[in-house]
Amino acid sequence: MTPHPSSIPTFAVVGRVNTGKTATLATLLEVDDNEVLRVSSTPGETTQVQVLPISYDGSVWMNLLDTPGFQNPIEAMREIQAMAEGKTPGPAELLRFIDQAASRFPDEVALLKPLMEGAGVLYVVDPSKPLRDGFLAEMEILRWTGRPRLALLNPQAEVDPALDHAWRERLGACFNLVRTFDAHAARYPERRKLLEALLQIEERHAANIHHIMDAMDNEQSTRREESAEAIISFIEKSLRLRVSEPIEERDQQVESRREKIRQRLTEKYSTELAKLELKATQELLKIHRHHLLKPDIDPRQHQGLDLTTAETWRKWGLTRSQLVAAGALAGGTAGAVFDLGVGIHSLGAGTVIGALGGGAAAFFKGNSLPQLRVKIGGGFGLSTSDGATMVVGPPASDNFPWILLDSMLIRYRGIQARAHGRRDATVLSVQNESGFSRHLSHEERKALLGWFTGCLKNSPDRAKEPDAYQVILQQIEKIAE
Amino acid sequence: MPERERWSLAELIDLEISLSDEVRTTEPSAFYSQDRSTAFKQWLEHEGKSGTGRLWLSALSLMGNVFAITLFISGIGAAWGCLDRGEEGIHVVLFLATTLGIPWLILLVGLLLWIFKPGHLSVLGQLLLQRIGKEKWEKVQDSLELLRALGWRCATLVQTAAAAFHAGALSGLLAMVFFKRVGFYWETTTEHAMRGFLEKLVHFLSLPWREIAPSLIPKVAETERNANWHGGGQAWWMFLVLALIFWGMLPRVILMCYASWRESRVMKTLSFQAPRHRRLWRLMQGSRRDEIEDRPADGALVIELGGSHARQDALRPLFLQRLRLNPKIWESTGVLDEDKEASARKALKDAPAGIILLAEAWSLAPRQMEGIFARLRNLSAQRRLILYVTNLDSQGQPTAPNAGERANWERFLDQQRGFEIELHFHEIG
Repeated sequence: MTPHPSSIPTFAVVGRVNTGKTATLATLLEVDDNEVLRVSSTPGETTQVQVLPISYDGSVWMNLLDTPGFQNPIEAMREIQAMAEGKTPGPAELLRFIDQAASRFPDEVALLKPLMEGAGVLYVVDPSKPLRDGFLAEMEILRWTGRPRLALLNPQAEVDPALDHAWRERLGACFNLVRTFDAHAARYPERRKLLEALLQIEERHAANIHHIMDAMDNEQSTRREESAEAIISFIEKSLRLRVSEPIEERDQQVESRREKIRQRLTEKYSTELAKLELKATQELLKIHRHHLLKPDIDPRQHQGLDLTTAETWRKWGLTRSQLVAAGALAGGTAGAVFDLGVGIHSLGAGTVIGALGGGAAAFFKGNSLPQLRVKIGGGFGLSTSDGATMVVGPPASDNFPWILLDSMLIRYRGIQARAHGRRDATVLSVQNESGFSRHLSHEERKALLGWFTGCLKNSPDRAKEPDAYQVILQQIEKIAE
Repeated sequence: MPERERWSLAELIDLEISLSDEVRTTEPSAFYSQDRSTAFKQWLEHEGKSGTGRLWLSALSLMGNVFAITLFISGIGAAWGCLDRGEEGIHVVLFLATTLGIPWLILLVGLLLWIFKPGHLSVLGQLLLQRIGKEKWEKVQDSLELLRALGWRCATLVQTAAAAFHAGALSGLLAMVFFKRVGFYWETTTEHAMRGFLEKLVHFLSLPWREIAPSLIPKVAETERNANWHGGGQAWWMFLVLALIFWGMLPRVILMCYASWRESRVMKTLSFQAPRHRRLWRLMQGSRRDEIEDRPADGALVIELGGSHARQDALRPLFLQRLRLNPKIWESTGVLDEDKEASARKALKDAPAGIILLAEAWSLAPRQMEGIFARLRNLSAQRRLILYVTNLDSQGQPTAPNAGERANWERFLDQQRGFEIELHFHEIG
């Protein structure tokens, strides 16, 4: 379905210079690129009317207009009143004003022109500022347009309740609806509510607005799924990550040489893991259309998830008791396979021993700072030396996959919390953030554990992947809501 | 509720191979069914990427047939191999071990490997597949449902081949009985153990028919071979035929049917939940927001005359507020650096909405200005041309020109007939 051009609703975002009109649009349209929408603290940054279509699958469903702000509203109001010759001004006077006053009031004319051509009004104010006469003049002029009007309170600082009340009272008298929309903090639910508000003031275009809301919901759901894909793919790759190097026999015999190779491989492992982290985080940022948010990862500096500090292992991942339960579950499952293989002749001993062994191992490893697994072994002619290869793999801790999961979910939360109207290039940090995996239910942990176990063995069980994916998706949905 | 689309294994292979190359776009969601299975089938038909699946299955079927024929011949050979040519007799223990024991042992080992899935086996499998060099195979091996369906198809073929082995053994046995009129015997170096074992074995193997046809159970004690053995033991042949049917062919046929049923179950319950399926589904059902193509049309090129090193952060707000232009590109002309001059010339050609000539008030050099104006004359008339005159302090901060400087510039511009340029003086400071 493609809307007819004449049925496309248009809303002009208007207001005083530097009240955050462009930032509001940037957040609403998820544009953090200054080449498309310039947001800055410089008054008068927006110099012309810019048409910003909301377009899905090649069809435009709504146009939003970024306009230069009111610069001289009181003088403009007087001019319009003079044109009305004592009567209450209306659209006819505004049309005359547009026609005759462009040279003296270029900004007011530029913003009023689209309104007189049929656009609805989105009036942005900063309620942290005092309600001066200039604002009253702006409201009055906008009221004379007779267009559907929605006022948006975009606080740029702490708002005094009395001032907020004053703003709301005054705006309520001139506008069909008054809503709060913090352009620097609004997330998806707030953006959706804004569209719902537009629906209330502009019923004639309900079909288009509904279509946009459905498309936004669909887009949001797709993003969550894509994020879950990125995270599960990152975890799989990280758990399967191993770095190796052929090792000569003479090096094998000497402890210091072995240690040197181990250190080299440990460094390489950190770099490779950081690359995976960086790629997954960049993917999350791309999914959410963020360009200014920078990941706190630099593979060249081996900077990423810090596995060498106890704090990482303490604050994220599962608690010790949860790890013991997870270890027992994994051990019990492996034992059950044995029991099945021998036709239950073992009378379930495999399951019991496996569970006890898994639980005990998790308990005793629980508090120690894990080292990377190091293995020296032969291969199928893979090495150039005497066939031996040193392989450095994932840390010898059952908590490793959970820490990876937490680190990514924390980054996801950081991305979600960032509004596109902001223009500061912030680093997406995972420090001082609490994790999620400790709050997973037993069933959720079980589903993830099944997948993690296979990945750690470098032999992922594809049958368990969809369940693990669902758990991660549910976590993402919780964070997003 | 519409009936779910049935998939064939060939179609599933086609789908997985098509998805192994990243799909970037699909038809809009309205084009496809809301049921994932049906929608994927529509997509496959729409893409027209079929044929590989049929090819794979033909190759698999051919391999299965060759395997079955080979095993059928092996079965004949195995039966024939049990014949003692000198005495024209078949050693029944050897026959049972070769035609039933070994195939069951292989089945058992296979079952254990399937249950325990030892790691090195999958490594071996991967190495084998790499040897085969099937690039496409490597791409689709993450598809669990395809692997399961293919696995059961292979199991069907293996069981068919195993049944063919037993059929071959049966044929060999019958041929020897009818054409060579062979005898049957068993022999041992132990006094009682073998007899006891054989009696128990015969008792066990004859379980399926012992109630209906007890006459078809041989007497073990009567057929032991001794020095005077010259044939006989004819009671064995029907026993062996029935043993091959009941313990050889029948279980294989049952396993074959089971494998075939499991394959059809997999094909009926395809959930398409692998990552690549989810990706395709999102592409099909998702709404794609189009990027905003239009950029603000107020970008301006600033050309500093004489390389004045003006503070850009100080001038930018002024240009935005007074000139309503956004200074995007800053270049210099009238400088020693040839590269900068070339860059300025190029920027003039690509100039955006407006061009701002930034001149220091004291530096009016008419010939230089006329040269620049000559270049600007050739540009499109759509652009705004502005001459911004200011003075700069030692920090590059703009300051207002004095009255004399203003008068000089105004007089100079008045002389430029036929050339329109806005003249602005810096007013602050």
